Amino acid sequence: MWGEAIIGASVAASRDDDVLIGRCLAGERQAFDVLVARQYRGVYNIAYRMVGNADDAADLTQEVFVRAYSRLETFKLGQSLTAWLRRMTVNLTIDHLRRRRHTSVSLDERRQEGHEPAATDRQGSPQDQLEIAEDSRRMLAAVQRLPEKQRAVLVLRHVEGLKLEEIADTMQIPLGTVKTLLFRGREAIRQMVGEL
Amino acid sequence: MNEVTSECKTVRALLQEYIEGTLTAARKAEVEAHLSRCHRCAQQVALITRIVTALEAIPPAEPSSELPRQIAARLADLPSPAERRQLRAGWGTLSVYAAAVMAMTALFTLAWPTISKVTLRLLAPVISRSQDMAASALALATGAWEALLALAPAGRALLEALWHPLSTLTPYFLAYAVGEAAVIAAIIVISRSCRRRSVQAPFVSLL
Repeated sequence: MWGEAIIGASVAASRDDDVLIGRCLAGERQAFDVLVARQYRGVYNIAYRMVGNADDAADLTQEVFVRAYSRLETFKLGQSLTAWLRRMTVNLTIDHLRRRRHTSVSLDERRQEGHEPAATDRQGSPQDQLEIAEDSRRMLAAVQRLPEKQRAVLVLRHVEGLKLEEIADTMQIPLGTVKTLLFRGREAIRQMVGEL
Repeated sequence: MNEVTSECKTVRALLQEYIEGTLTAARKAEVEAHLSRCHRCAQQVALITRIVTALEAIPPAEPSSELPRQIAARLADLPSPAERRQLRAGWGTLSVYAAAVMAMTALFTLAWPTISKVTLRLLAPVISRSQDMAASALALATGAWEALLALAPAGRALLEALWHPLSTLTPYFLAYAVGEAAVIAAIIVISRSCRRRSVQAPFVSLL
């Protein structure tokens, strides 16, 4: 029942995106602004979790939408716009990380700069929440120290909650490679935070 | 069980899939049976599970509310998809023309030795004849020019002698020309009218 409702909503959203893309292709640029308003948070979050830096994540988000707008003709109507943008985000962020061999700013520093992640309503006692929040902070910092592709796979799997097949599709790599990258990424983090 | 055994190695190779939940029921039961006996492996699983839990609990980050406006400003500088199509179409046509011109030029350049030989062979008689004609025409023109120069004073005297009577006769000549034109026009109109009615005009032979 719920599954059907979710699938139905997803199909409706996809059709709605198609309509907006069609209008944009016909010359109505404001239609693209609606798509930006719907998608920019998702794009920003993937970039932010991979680069660990709000300014770089904002720049990458802009780049993603510039690229999407410039290549809008190549979007196949009927496919998922979210998946299309996610693929661009991951590719652009990996390129960015490779170019800069980024020495990321830790989350502690981000907090000092006032970039506090949004609060979420998680379950558990206040003590549990504090522990999980502390673990998450350390995990995010550890993720920033991973090689680009391991970082991307871990973020997509455990932060974005994608299935392995979806990650393979997003990164255009074989499923076996996704599993290997995930294994190595987790192992690397386990070694980094082994004393957790 | 505190030592790393061969069973531990086998189970650890399966731990990622165990955590992912992609093991078969039988394999999962084997792993869980081992974990209940092996404290080290159970610790490994607990650690990885904690890592995964912590990663999954990372809260979403909220981007600046200015970001959509900044994106819109970037997009405003770009050509729209419709403009890009027009631009591509223009370049497409231009590139077809350019390619055609380049291909023709290349073909002509490559074939030039053959073309020049064949052309010269075909045009040899014409060239020879035109050279003769040009020489004859030049000689004739030169002769005519010299004759004109010689006759110029006599011609001028003749024109001056004729001018006075011609100028007096001009109105008569004009009247005659207008009358003649009117007669010819009338004959043409009548003959066309007769042709439309399939009637033989009796005076067409006058023309």
